Amino acid sequence: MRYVMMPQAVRNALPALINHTVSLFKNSSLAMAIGVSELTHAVREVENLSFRVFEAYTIATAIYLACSLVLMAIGAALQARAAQVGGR
Amino acid sequence: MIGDIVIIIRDNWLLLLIGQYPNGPLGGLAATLILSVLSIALAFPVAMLIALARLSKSPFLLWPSTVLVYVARGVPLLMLIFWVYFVVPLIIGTRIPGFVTMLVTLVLYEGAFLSEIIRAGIVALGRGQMEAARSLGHSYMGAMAWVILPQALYNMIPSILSQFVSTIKDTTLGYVINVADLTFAANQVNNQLLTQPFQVFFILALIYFVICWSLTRAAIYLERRISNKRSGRGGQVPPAMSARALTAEP
Repeated sequence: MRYVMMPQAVRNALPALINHTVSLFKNSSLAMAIGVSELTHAVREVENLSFRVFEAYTIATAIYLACSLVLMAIGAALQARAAQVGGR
Repeated sequence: MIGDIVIIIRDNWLLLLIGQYPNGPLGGLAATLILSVLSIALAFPVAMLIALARLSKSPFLLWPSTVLVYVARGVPLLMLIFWVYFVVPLIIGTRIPGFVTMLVTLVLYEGAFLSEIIRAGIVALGRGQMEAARSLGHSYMGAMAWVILPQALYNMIPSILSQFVSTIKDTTLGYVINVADLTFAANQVNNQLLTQPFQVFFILALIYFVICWSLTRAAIYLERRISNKRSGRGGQVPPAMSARALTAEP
C-alpha cells in the first residue's frame, strides 16, 4: 500500500485535489455571511467607511486572484513533477 | 420534531415554492430553478465561444479568453456578485434588479467553468479526429461543428450536468444581495417563526439535497452509459473521466 498504491493514487488525485484547494480557498469568503471577519468582510467594512466601492473591490479581487494563481501555479508545478517521476 | 416540520411545510409550502409571486417577485424554489436553468442556458453559448477562443492560435483570441477564465476561476463567486451588484450600476447609471444581477454573475462564472469542460472535452477527443476531418476537406470551423463538437458535447453531458448541480447550489449566494430564491424564502419563514431555525433550515437542506442528489444520480447513470457506448466502439478512452477532473468546483 505505502510504496506501490499510494504514490500512484496521489499522482492521479493531484489535479482534483488542487482544484478543490483553490475552491475551498474561494469558499472561505462565504464565512462573511455569518460574520467571520475574513477578507470579504473586511472589504465590506472598508467600503462602508470610505464609500470607495471600486477601489475596495479591486484590492480584494487582486488579493484573491494572487492567492488563487499562486495555488494553481504550485499545483501545476507539483503535477509536472509527479508526471516526471511517474513518467515511463 | 417531525411534527413541527410537517406543520411548517403545511403552513409555508406556497412561500417556499413560488415566494410571494402574485403580490411580489417570483421567489422560492421556482426562482432558484429558473435562475439556474437560465444561467446554464445562457452560459453555454458564452462558454462555447470562450472554449473555441482558448483553442485558437490567434493571440488576440487566446489571451483575453485565458485571462477571463483564470479570473473567474481565481475569484470567489461572492466577490463577483459584489462587483456586478455595486460596480455595474455605477457604470451604466441605472439600478438593475437582483435577479438580473445574479443571472449576469452566474453566466460569467459558470461560462468560465463550462468553457473549461468544453475545452477538456475537445482536447480529450484527440487530434486524429481533427486531422482526419481536415484531410477530408472540412474547414477548421466546419470540422469543429460537424465532427469534433457532436462527439465532444456528447461525452461532456455528465460534466455539464454536474456543473448544473453546482449552479443550483451557487444560486443560494444570491441571498446576500436579496434575490428572492429558495434560501431567501426559508429565511423569511424562519423570521416569522423565530423559534424553530433548525427545522426550517432542515427543510431547506432537504429540498436542495433531493434536487442535487437526483441530478447527480442522473449524471452518474449517463456517464456509465456513455462510457459503455464508447468502449463498445473500441479503442477510445472514456473522455468523461478527464473532463471531470477539471471541473472540481463542488
